[in-house]
Amino acid sequence: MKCSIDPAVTEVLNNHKGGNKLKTAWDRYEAQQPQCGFGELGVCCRHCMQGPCRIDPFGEGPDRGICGATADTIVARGVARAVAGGTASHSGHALHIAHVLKKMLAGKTPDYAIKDEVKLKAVAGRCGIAIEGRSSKEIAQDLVEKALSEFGDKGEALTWAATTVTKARLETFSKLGIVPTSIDGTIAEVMHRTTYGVDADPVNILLGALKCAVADYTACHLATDLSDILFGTPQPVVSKANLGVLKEDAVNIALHGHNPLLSDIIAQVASEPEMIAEAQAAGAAGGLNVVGICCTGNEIMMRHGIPLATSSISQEVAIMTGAIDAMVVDYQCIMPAIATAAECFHTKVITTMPIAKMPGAEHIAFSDENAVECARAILRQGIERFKSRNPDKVCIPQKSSTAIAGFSAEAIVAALAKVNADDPLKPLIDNIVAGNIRGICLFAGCNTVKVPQDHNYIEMVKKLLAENVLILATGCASSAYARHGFMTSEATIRYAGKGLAAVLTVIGEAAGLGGPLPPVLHMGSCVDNPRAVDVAVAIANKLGVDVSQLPVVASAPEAVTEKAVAIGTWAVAGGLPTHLGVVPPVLGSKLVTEVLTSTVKDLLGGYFIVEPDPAKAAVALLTVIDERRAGLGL
Amino acid sequence: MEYLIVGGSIAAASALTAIRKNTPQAEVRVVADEPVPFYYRPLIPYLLDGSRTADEILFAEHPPTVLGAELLHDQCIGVESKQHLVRLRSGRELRYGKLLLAAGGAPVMLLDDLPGAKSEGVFALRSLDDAVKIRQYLLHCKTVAIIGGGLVGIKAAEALFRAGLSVTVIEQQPHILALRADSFAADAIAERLRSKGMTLLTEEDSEEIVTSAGKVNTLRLASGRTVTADMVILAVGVKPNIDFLKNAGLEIEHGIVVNQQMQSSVPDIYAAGDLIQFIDQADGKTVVSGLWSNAVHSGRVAGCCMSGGRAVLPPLLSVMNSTEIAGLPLLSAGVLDDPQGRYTVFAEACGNSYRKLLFDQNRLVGMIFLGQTERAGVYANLIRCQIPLEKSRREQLVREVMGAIKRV
Amino acid sequence: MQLIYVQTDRCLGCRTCEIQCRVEHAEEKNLFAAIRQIHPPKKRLFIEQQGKVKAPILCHHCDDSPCMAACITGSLYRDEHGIVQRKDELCIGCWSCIMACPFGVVARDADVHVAVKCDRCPDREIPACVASCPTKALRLVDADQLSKERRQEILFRGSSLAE
Repeated sequence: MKCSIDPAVTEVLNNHKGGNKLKTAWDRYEAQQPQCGFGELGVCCRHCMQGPCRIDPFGEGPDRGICGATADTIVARGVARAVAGGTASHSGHALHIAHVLKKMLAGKTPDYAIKDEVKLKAVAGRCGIAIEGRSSKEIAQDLVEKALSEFGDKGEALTWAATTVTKARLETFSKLGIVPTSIDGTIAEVMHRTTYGVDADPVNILLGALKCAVADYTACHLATDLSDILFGTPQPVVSKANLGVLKEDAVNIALHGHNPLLSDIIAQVASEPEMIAEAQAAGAAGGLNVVGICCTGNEIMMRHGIPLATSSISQEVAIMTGAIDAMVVDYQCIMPAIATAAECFHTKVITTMPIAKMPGAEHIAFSDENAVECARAILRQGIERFKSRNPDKVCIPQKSSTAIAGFSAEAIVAALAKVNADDPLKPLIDNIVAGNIRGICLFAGCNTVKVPQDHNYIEMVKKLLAENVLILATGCASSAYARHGFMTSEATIRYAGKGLAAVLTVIGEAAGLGGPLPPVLHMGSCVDNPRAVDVAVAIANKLGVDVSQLPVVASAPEAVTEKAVAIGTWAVAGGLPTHLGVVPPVLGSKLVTEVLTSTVKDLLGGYFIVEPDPAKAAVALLTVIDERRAGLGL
Repeated sequence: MEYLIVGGSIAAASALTAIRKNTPQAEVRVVADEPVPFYYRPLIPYLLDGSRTADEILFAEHPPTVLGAELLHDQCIGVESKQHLVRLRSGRELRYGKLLLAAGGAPVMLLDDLPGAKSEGVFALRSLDDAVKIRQYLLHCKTVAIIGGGLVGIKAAEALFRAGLSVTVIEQQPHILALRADSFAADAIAERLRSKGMTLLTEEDSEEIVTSAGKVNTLRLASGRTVTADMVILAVGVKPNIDFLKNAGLEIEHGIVVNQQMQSSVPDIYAAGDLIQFIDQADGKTVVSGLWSNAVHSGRVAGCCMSGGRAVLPPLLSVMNSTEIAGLPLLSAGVLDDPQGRYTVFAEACGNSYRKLLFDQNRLVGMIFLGQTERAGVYANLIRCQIPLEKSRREQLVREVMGAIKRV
Repeated sequence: MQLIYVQTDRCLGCRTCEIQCRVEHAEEKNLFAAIRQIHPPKKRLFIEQQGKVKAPILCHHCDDSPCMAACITGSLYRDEHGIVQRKDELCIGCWSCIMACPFGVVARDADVHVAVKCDRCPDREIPACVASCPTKALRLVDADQLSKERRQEILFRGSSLAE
C-alpha cells in the first residue's frame, strides 16, 4: 500500500539511511493486519473482570455479554469512553495553561506574561467579568478563577460553553440534558455510567457522550482563549511547511506535541543570539533551526512563523531524515516508536512532561517556574547532539511549500473589516447569500495509516474548492494543506471556483496581502477548533438563525484519536453535519449507528456522515450544504 | 483377471474406482439393469416436482467411461459359482475371475397382497425410470395417495405437494419415519407437514386400490376409510435384491453374509451395498440397510480387496441418516428409542428443536437432532466407533448437546 | 499436499480466524459489508475449548473423506490439489455431510439451504484463517516439511539435554 501522497515523506521513506530494520507506523499497520473484527465493530467489552465479552456480529454466537449487555450497550459505552478519553486530553491541556496563568499572576512563573490584553478583555467580558477601570492583572485573576471553576463542580452551566454558542443551541442542550456543569466531573460521570452495571440504555449513554463532548468543547475553547492571552492571538503569517525546512548546516530542533506552554518558550529562546552563537560554535554555520511537528507545529507556526516539518503520522519520518538533532515532545500524539527510530540515528528524543515519558528517551522535566532556563537546557542538548550527526545518514528532501497561517477568528474578522469596517461580517454573509461562497467546510483531525497520508484531505478539498466551498482547517488537516501548498494566494487561483476566488481576491487585496486570501484558512491546532465555531456562531447570530441551519459542515477524513472522536461529537452537538473518512468502531450496533448518523439529526441538526471514499464524501457534503442553503431560502 | 460387477449404483461405482486404483489395466465389466447412466438414486424424489431434471442427477463423470470398464445394460438372473459365470436376462453368459454382487435393493411392491396394485396409476419409487413415469403421469392427477410413511414416502409426498397435488400418506405404524425418528420427532414433523396441508394417516392399512375405467380412483383402507387418489405410490420399503442368487450357494440370512473384506461364503464372490448384512455397531444386531454411505464404504472395501489390496470394512450403523423435512433438519443415528428401558436417555426440546441422546452404560448408542445440526457428526462418530466415554465426558457431552439447544 | 497445522498452545481463542473466514466468504470481502449481508456468510472453522486448551477445529480434507462418502448428490468432490470442495448448485441441503464429519466442521447455512465447509480459500494463496492468526497458531505447511521440523525439534531437545 502507498504510505503517503506527501512527496517529501515518500522520498524519506524510500531513501532514508536508517537501515532495513527501521520500521514505521505503516509497517506496523501491515503487521497488525487483519485487525480484530470484534474491535473494528466495537462489540468487545473489557469493563469488568468477568470478561472479556464479545458479541457475535453475525448473529450465531452470543448476543449478550455476561452481564447481559447487548451489542448496542457495549458499542454505546465504547463511544462514550472514547469521548471521555478525548475530553480528558483537552481538559489536561487547558488546565495546565490555567495553572500557569494563575502562577504567573502570583509571580511564580516570571517567563510568562499577558501578551494579548485585547483578547483578555474580550474573553473576560464574554464571561461576565467586570472590565471597566480594572487592571489587566485584576481582570486576569478573576478570569483564571472562573476558568479553574470550570473543571470542578460549578453547580451551573459551564461558562465557556454557555457564552460561546447561540442561545437556541444552549436551549437545545438544556432540553436534552447535555449541559455540563463540570469538565472533569463529566469525564468522571462517563467513566461511572459506563462501568460495570450502571447505564445500559444505549441512547442514554450516547446522551452522556454528547454531554461529555460539550465539556470537551468547553475545555478546547478555554485552552485556546488562555493560550491567546498568554502567547498572543494568531495573525496571518507567512511560513513554510514540509521536511524541506530542515537545514543541513543548522542544529535542527523539532518541537512535537500540543501545548504552547513549552514550545512557545523554546521558540522565543531559540532566537536569542547567545543560543545561535552556541550552535555555530558547535559547527552549525546555519545556527539554530527550530521546526514544528503535529499541533505544536501549528501553535508555533501561527504565532512565530516557525516552519512546520511534518504532521503526526510522519513524526518518525522526520527522524529518518537523519537531520534532527533533538525532538522535544510534551504530550498527545507522540508515538513511542520515535525513540526506536531515533536509535538508528543520532537524534535525541527529549520528553518533558511528568505524565508523558517513554522508554529510550531522555527526560528533562520542564518547569514552568523556570521555563526559559529549561528551554535553554533543552536546546543545548540538541546542540550537543548535532556534533554526533552523521552526514552520510542525512536525507533531507528539498521539498517544502509556502504557507500563510494564523487565521484566528479575530484575524478573519480583521481581514473582513478591511472590506467593511462598520460591519465586517457583511461581506462574508453577502457572498454566502449570493452563492459566491456556497458553504464553509471545516477540515479537522489527524492523518491515519488506513489511507495514504493526506489522500482524503487533498481529494476532498480540490472538489469542494472547485464548488466554491470556503475551507477552514485545524490540526493535522492544516498541516496537510500547508504541506501541499493550499495555503497560498496561488492556490486560490489554481483550485477555487470562480465565485470563491473573486471573494478571496477582494478580501486579500483589501487586507494588503497583494493577492487573494488562501482558499484554505489555517485556524490553528486541533485544540483550536472552537475558533471555527466562533466564526459560525457569529454568522448565525448575525442572521438570527442557529448554526444547525447554516451551510457549514465539518470533516475529519483521516481521523485517529479519541480527541478527534470528542471533537467530532461536539461538532455534531453544535449542529454540524460531520464527515468521518475512517469507519469508527460502532457498526456492530445498528441502533448506535442509526442514532449517530440519523436520529441525532432531529435532535441537534448535526450528525455523522461515514464515508471512506473521499469523492463520494465531497458529494455528500455538497448535498448537505445545498440542503441547508435551500432551508434558508438561498 | 477378469472382474465382473453386478450393479449400477454407488456401491458398484465405488468398487470400480477402488479396483482401478490397484489394476489400471485389468478387464472390468459392469452389468446394470437400469438402462440409464449412473445417477444419484436418493435424488429421485426431486424429479417428481421438477426441482431436478433427470440429467441433473447423473454422475458428473460416468464411472465406466472414465475408469475404463465395459458396461452392459442387462439383468443378472443367476450365478454359477463353480463355473465362474453369471447368466443374464438377454441369454448371455459372462465368465468372471472375481465377481462383485452390488445389485442393491428392490422395492417391496405388495403386489400379491393388495388388490388393484397392478392398475394404471400405481407406481413404485425406486428407480429413475419410476420417477420419470410418475412425473409424466401426475400431469393428469389432482390427488395422490402414498402408501408408506418412511423417508422415501415422505420425500415423495413433499415433492408431489410442491407439484400442486393433494397428498395423503398412509402409514401402518403409529408414527411416520419409524426407522429414522422417535415418536416425538416424528410427531413434530408430521404436525408441520399437516399444517402445510398434507394429510397423514397413521395406524392405517391399505385394503384395496379401487379403479375406474382401468385407472386408479380410490384407495380403500382397512379401517373403512376411503382416500380419493388419481395416483398411488408404493413406498413401503426396500429389500435386498438377492432373489436371483437362490441357487448360487451363497450363505444368505437377512442379506448376503460377508466378512470384513466383503468376501461371501463362496470363493471369488464379493458383495457390497444394500444386499449385504452387517453388524450394527449401536446395538450389535445383524442388519441390512440401504444407506448410501454404507454402500460407498462396502463398495470401496470390496473393490480394493478383490483387486489385491488390503482394506477392512469400517464400523457401520444401520441408522445414520440426515435429511430435511418440512424445513427442519432431522439427523439421527444408532438406537432411536428405548421401549424396554435398557438405555440412559436424555432428551430436550425447545420450539421445533429437539435433541435426544441414548447411552448404553459408557457408550453413546443413539442420537436424534431435529431442527439443529451443529456438530452432529462428532456424536454420530462416537456412536459408530463405539468409543467408551468416562462419566465426566458423558456428562459434559450431555451438557454441551442440550446446552446448545436454541429455539428454531 | 499442504496442510493447515494448528499449534494449540499458541491459540488465544480470539476468533480472528473465524471472522476472517466469514469475510473471505462474503459477497464483498469486507467486514463492514459482510455483517450487513442479508444472509451473513458462515464460518468454516470453529474455535473450541476443552479445559484450558483453545483451538480452531477445521477441515482436514481427509484422504478417506466421510463427508464425500455421505454426499448423495455429487456436490462434494476432491479437486486437483486434494482439497474437498463443494458445488453449491448440486447441494440439496440434506446435511448428510454434517452427519458424517467426525470433526463437526461442516456447517449448515440455513439461509441459502446449502452445507458449507472449508474450501481453503481458492482466491488466496494463504487461507484467510492462516493469514489472519495474530499468534501464528495456524500455519500452512508442507507435510514433509512439518515432519522434518519435528525431527529437528527432537534433535534440538536431545542436544540441549546433553549439554
